[in-house]
Amino acid sequence: MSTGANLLERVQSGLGAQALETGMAHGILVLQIAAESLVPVAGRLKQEFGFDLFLDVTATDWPQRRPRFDVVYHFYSTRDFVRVRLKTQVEEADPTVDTLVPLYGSARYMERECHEMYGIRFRGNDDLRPLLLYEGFVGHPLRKDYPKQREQPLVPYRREAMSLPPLTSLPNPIRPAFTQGLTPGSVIVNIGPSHPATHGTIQIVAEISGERVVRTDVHCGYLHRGFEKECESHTWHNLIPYVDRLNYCSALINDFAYCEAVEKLMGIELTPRCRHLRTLLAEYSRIADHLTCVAAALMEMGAMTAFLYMVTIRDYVYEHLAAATGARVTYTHGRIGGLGRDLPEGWLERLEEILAQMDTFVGRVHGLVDRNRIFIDRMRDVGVMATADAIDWGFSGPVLRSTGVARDVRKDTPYLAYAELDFEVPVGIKGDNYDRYYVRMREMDESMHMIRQLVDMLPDGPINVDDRRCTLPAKHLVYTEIESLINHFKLIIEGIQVPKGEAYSYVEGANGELGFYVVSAGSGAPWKVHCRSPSFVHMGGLHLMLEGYQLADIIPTFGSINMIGGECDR
Amino acid sequence: MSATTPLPRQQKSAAFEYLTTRKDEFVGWARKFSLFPYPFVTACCAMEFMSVSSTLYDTDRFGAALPRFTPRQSDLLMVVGTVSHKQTPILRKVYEQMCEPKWVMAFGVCASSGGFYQNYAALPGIDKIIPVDLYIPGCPPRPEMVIDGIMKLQDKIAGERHPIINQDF
Ligand code: SF4
Repeated sequence: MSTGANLLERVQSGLGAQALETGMAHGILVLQIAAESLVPVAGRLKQEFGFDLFLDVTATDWPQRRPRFDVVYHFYSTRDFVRVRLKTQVEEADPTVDTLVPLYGSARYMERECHEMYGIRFRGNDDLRPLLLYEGFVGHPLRKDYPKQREQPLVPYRREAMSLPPLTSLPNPIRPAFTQGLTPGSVIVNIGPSHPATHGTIQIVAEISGERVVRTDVHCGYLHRGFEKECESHTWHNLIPYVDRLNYCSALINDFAYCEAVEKLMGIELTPRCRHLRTLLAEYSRIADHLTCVAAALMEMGAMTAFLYMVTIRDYVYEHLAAATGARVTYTHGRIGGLGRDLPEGWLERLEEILAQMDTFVGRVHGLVDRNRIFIDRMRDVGVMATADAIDWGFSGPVLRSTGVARDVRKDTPYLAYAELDFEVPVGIKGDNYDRYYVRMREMDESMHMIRQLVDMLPDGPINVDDRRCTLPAKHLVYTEIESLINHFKLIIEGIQVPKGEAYSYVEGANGELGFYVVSAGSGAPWKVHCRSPSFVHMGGLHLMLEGYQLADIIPTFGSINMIGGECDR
Repeated sequence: MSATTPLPRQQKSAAFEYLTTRKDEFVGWARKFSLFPYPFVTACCAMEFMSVSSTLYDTDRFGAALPRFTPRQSDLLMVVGTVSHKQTPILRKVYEQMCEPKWVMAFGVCASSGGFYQNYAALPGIDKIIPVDLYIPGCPPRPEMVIDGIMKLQDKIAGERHPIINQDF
């Protein structure tokens, strides 16, 4: 028995008495507990059983049920690579649970989100200001009784074509945590959200003393587009375009992660060709993502040549992916149980050409910046993050690896075809900006290596499972057979019917652990789709990397994290 | 050229010494090749914005390359990506900070109409709060489409009235 399974058994027997119900669901141990025992159980999970990474908290709304809300927590053990889900029910009249902030730093941000979206109160969390929404927003949009289209505009709309309502005073969508400096000499500055280095969607309120940052208050939510609400009003397949636009730098990884969650619920086993193709495309996407991140970060520091090199090669990747999927950035290529289409003729040959060019271009960037004095001065020993802090704040992906731990979902709990591949997990030394840059660069090499292996081992065969519950029948059958016609009609109009239940899929996104928690009520549309997005979690701990450094260091540090607005704010 | 020793007729320089044009045409011609964009970049469309402004597509060719990261120095507001309600006060403020003459481009369907985000969070098109000169469809638009958009905008600028000193000049 693996150590992970062993651990889960120990947890089950150790905490069984405190739980109302226990069970395994798709590899995750589920404990249903009473709201009072939440903090004791979570405390024991962390201290006794080593579940040190707090992944996520969200809620599910069941308006017809008493008690109305489920509050759902996910935990991860970075030593044994297993996950636990805690669920507790709260009443609508008093939706209160205790906060987990004393146990996990990352709980602070996530509880704020859950609070504004569902109105769950976290007793003891003193900072429940709006995060994704804005000051003055009334109601909780993810509750089922909040109409999807009820807008609450902050700026009056224009009436006729060329009129502009007079500008009186514009409301401030956020409330900063502090407006007074701690010491008389300090100044409070505001950076963003419309600032080239904050990628348009992050606002950092910083108190500075001289050039040194004393404390910061990071606001996100400027790109909150109601992803989860949109999902609930689309069928399982129709919402894939929304999933694409979470992390738009590597949209395919999102696609496949979401599909995997639904496939878990339906008990679908992918075809070998599909598994390998998905792995290949996911790695290809990861390269595009890292290229974007490094290019943007370098450009913000003035390395325009490196930016142009990397964006050029990324453009080749985009065009190449467009040949396979039909779009350059947002692909909508994943299907539940397969892929949108197979590779076109000659795609793999072109792939090898691009990989060879990539080697050259990436090599040039190494040559330009790696030993460049200006670059090193701005990156080395700036934005340092210790491993313990990183785990406490829920970090994962390249940011966690840069602190020196080799935690990678692809290695730790292999999914798709990763178990068959030979690859390394690059790690940094001390978790500073330079390490984050270097880990990303090395990961691109590893991805290229994986892609080359995958090309060699790519099996033939169909890409979609032969399963009438989710795969569309062949077009010629739709035109000639009544069964296929009905099948096609039902799948399109009613959507695929996913059995009741819930599943959490987890993959290594380009920025860290990307998880999809889906809940099905047994119909053609999801009851809930929640995305555990690495960028959002990283924003919760960003202040640790900014405080104590110079004001100008905010730009490379922020750039090295690769915050993606779509995924962060959803 | 000294007035006392006129050049013989055949030695006169071949370059233009003067030409006649309409004032608006002249100013429009100058303005259309000196667009300084302010990228108000929020979402996925930014990926294509990066592409279109770098090597392979290169908006430099249209005199519309150098982004100014302060609205006060720019005359083309490119709204790239979804604008949420939370973002609206900022967008309006940025627009107000730009000096005349100014043009606004809605880059992508989200900026044009909200795209497929028709919900509580997203603004259904930036023209709800500021005037827009040009809409570029696509989710995200391909770089060619953006270039086409820029050229259309240049045509529009070339054909516009350009009051410089006052309405009469
Ligand atoms: S138009 Fe499409 S690609 Fe552009 S921001 Fe909107 S969703 Fe993203």
